[in-house]
Amino acid sequence: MSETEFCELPGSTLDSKSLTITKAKALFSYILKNNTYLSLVATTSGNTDGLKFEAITFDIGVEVPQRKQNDVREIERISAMFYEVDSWYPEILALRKDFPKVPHTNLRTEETPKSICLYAEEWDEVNLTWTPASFIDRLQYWLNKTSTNELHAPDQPLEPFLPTTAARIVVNKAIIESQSEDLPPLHIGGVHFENKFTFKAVKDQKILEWFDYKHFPGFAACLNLPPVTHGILHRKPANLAELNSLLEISGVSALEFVRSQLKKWQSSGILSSDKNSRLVIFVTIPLRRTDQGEVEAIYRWAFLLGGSLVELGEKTGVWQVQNNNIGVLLNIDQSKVGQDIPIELLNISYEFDPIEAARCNGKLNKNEDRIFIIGLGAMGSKVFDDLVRMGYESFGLIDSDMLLPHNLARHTLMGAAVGFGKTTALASSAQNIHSDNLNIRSYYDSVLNPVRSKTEIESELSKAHTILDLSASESVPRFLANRKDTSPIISSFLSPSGTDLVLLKEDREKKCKVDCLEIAFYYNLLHNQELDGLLSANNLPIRYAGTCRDVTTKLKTSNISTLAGIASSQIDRVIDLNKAMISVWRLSEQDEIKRVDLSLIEFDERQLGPWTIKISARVLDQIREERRIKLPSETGGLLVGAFDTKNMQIYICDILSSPVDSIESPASFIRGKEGVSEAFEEIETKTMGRLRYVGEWHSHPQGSTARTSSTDIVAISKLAAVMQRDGLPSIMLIMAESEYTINIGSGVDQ
Amino acid sequence: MIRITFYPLGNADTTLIELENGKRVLVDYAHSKNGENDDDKKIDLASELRSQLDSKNLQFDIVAFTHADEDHTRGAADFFEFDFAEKYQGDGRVKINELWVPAAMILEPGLKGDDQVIRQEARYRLKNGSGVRVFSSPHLLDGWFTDNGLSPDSRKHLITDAGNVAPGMSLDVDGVEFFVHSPFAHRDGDTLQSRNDGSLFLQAVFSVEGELTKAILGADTTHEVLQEIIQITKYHGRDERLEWDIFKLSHHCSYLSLSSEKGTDITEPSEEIDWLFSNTNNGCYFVSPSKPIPDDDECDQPPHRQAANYYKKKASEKNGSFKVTMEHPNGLHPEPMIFEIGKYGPTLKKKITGGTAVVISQSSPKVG
Repeated sequence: MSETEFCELPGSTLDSKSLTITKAKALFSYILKNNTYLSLVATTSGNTDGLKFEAITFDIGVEVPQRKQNDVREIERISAMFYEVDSWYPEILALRKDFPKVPHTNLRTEETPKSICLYAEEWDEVNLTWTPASFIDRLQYWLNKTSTNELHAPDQPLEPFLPTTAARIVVNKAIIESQSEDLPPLHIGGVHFENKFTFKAVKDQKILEWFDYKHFPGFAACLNLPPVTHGILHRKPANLAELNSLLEISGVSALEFVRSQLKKWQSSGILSSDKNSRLVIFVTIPLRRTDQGEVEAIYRWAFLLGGSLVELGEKTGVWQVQNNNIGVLLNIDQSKVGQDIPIELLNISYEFDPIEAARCNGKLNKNEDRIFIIGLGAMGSKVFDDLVRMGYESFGLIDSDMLLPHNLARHTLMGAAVGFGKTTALASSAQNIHSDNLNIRSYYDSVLNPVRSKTEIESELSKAHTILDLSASESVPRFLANRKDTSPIISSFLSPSGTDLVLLKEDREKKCKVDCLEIAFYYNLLHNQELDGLLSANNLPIRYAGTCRDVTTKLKTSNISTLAGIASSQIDRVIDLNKAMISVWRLSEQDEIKRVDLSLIEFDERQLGPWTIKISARVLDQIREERRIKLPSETGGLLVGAFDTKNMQIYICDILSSPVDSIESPASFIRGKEGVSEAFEEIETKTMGRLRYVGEWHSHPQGSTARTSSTDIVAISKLAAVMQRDGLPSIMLIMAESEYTINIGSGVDQ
Repeated sequence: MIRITFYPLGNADTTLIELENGKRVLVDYAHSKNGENDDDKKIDLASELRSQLDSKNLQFDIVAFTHADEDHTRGAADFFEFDFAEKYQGDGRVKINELWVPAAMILEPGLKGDDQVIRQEARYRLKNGSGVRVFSSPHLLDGWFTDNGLSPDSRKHLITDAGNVAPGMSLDVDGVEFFVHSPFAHRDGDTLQSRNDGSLFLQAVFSVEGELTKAILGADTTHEVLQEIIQITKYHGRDERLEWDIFKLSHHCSYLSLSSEKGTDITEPSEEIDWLFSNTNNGCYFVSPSKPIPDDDECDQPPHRQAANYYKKKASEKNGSFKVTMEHPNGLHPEPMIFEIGKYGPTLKKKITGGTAVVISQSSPKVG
């Protein structure tokens, strides 16, 4: 094997006794004490860019596997350069001349020695806990992992890193990927903030105006290289001529590219003569491992060329300028190769889009399903905002409200949107997050009574993957439940105090519909002590304007954020699950959150005239059991539930048993009244009136059917006559041994 | 991560194999440290192994003794728990789930000390019909079974012949398999083998993410036996069973494991043996479980510098390394030699230990 060749030591020899920089001294003595896999080579000192440094050069043992992936050796020679001013990373150099071109190195103007990028963390953070042991540990880890090519995360670029101080350019990934030199150039503009430039490259110049990217307007041209087998940029080119020679290996001339682009723009009349106009070149390099191999990675670099577009033409020999007139040369002046055109590397950032959003949220993929959100108030706007930032990309939004000043207490929209429809304003602010990469259909309309977009809303309701009902209205879920061909629904709302979140979710097959889930939730309010006080209504509305409906509720915005955050998280978690759920999250005064999962109720459904009766299977079991216990006597009681007169639904979810003053005999039953009013008072309080008295039930003895007896028929019509005052029918459920009937008496018929 | 560890024990062998599923296989046990003698740089094997084990579950899944020689068994009677006699039980002794021995360790008369204890245990487990595997040609033990009132058929499942993968560990489940090269039957009949001739010679094949790493664990095999192993394996067309990435050298780097002639500066083995030591990959490891290699020929005992020179030559042909247990990482402070086996093959660990790691891995100094 040939002798290993090393680069020169940084600086000149310094007696180790003269070391003054703390970290250099610490590393020096650590190496002396650990002579197993560390051995000192030299101590040196010098200056770079006027900064004094002391360098410790040493050999370190590396854990290299038998089948290594990069040519890292069992022993590597490293120089660690520590600066007098300890405000930046030490420079770590791999001194072996043929140290491989590997990821996680810093881009320097010289290709060797390679500068090792040890830390992903900010130096100030590293510095807090820096010890020579932790440094050596990290260095050895870097070398070990580099030998197996396992150091970089899969999403990290394999080429050397740019200094974090570099200026930045933001561009849409899809646009840059489809851009070629034959297409019109992208427009660029920059913003200048605290001494830092950020550029944006876009197709439509207007976007730059919107965002006020007004510095250095100009063009970005894309140079797409053919696949190469190794990385190209292992040092930082200082000018166009150097870039040209670096890219030569791919057979493409950067210089000719610049010349031809300038010429084309000049002849097509788009060239800007603004002396601030600039040119950015995006260079795209497909990398493959072997000459015949598949392309494994795409690298992209952006270079900002110094000087205006007009000057560039002159300095590359394309034209001459006289009296402010461009005179294109017949033959390019080949002596002008761009040595006097400085270039600056730009850090490329891709525009935020749903894919990136999903990635930032730790999700594998963006979500392309259509989500139709009904109700974009405080809660709706927050959930929408979360879903947008989580990588959901297709939304229908419907709300008939416009943003008013008092909404700003809790809504995500800004003051500039006051006077606009909430959906319209939210759609545009979401596009602003995702640079117009979302598919948002917004409707300033009512889902119950659409006036402007009836057909579109019909289609949204049927085609959505999930309908998110965040309307906090009772009528919307009822309407949705009774509408045919409606997508699965998740309905979520807050308690009146704004400290509880309720989430009702239909199964994907819609066997449990949202109206029944809602009734089941109310039923739980009666029987689950963990829900005490949830619907208490001691939260009076406040007035925000002059008319009688101009009221809003007093709710803490922080509570809404907390609970909306939970709603977003849950929606994202359960959206594809088939199972139905009813869950409640309760926020205590001390901001502790408790989750309560509620039991579902199975409903038996039957049609009686115009009415659909939905009766809880549990209620039927309970009645059967009470009947059995009281045999041979009849027994009975009251039915608890709800009427929906708009959709002609009657829900029965609970019963009251026979009051103590009832008269039960084998041939008849008279329901007593003791405690009944009090019981219903409690039911109405606990459910804010959502559950109420709906009718009567009684049992028939052994051997009888559940058909109404003549006595029953009389009773039903008597009851009906009374219920008519409320405009409601009377309901009588009769339970026999093996069957039951539900009988309706409508006062109108009498 | 799979790990293979070789310990600095002077001229003595112990190899620990730790698998990803937590199973542990120990090949030989030779506690060689000479009491409290601080000049003795050998490791305190008993303490070292015990510290590797879960104190509530002191056990190895397999302990293999390649043959009955004290440099492979020393101290076993004090360290392991043996079922056959109460005096070898409890008191922090380490359990052996399955004991592997060559047939010679069952049959051989006149064993003493640790060897005798292991033999008793192997016989006891063989009689009980569980917890033991004996490596033997098919009918070699028939007589012993009959003498002990057992039918040979009833113990057939505990016998593994050369040329097979030992049952109990598989590439799919454990990420390792052990192929048995020796003991094998002599061609000239069923006479009892001499001790080292009948020793256990294994190829361990490891699989990590489908990538194989192979190690040969070569007992104290002589060049004659090695020659025969190569011939038999080639005869059966199973050259891959002699491929290796790590070769634990036989008999502490003795020239007799290569050739009958020591050579002046280098031992020259037969063409076939030379083929075996070339049948490897770039970056291979030769591991000599021995004292440091001497510069001269003053001592007759291994290691022999001529044999070492041969191995070094072979190593450099493959950009590989020749490592000596008592010289790793240096002769002053030898430490266990740990190889991690990953998808890129073996990696020799070179842990640079900072102060904190040392402090928390030890008892604190006495304070007043």
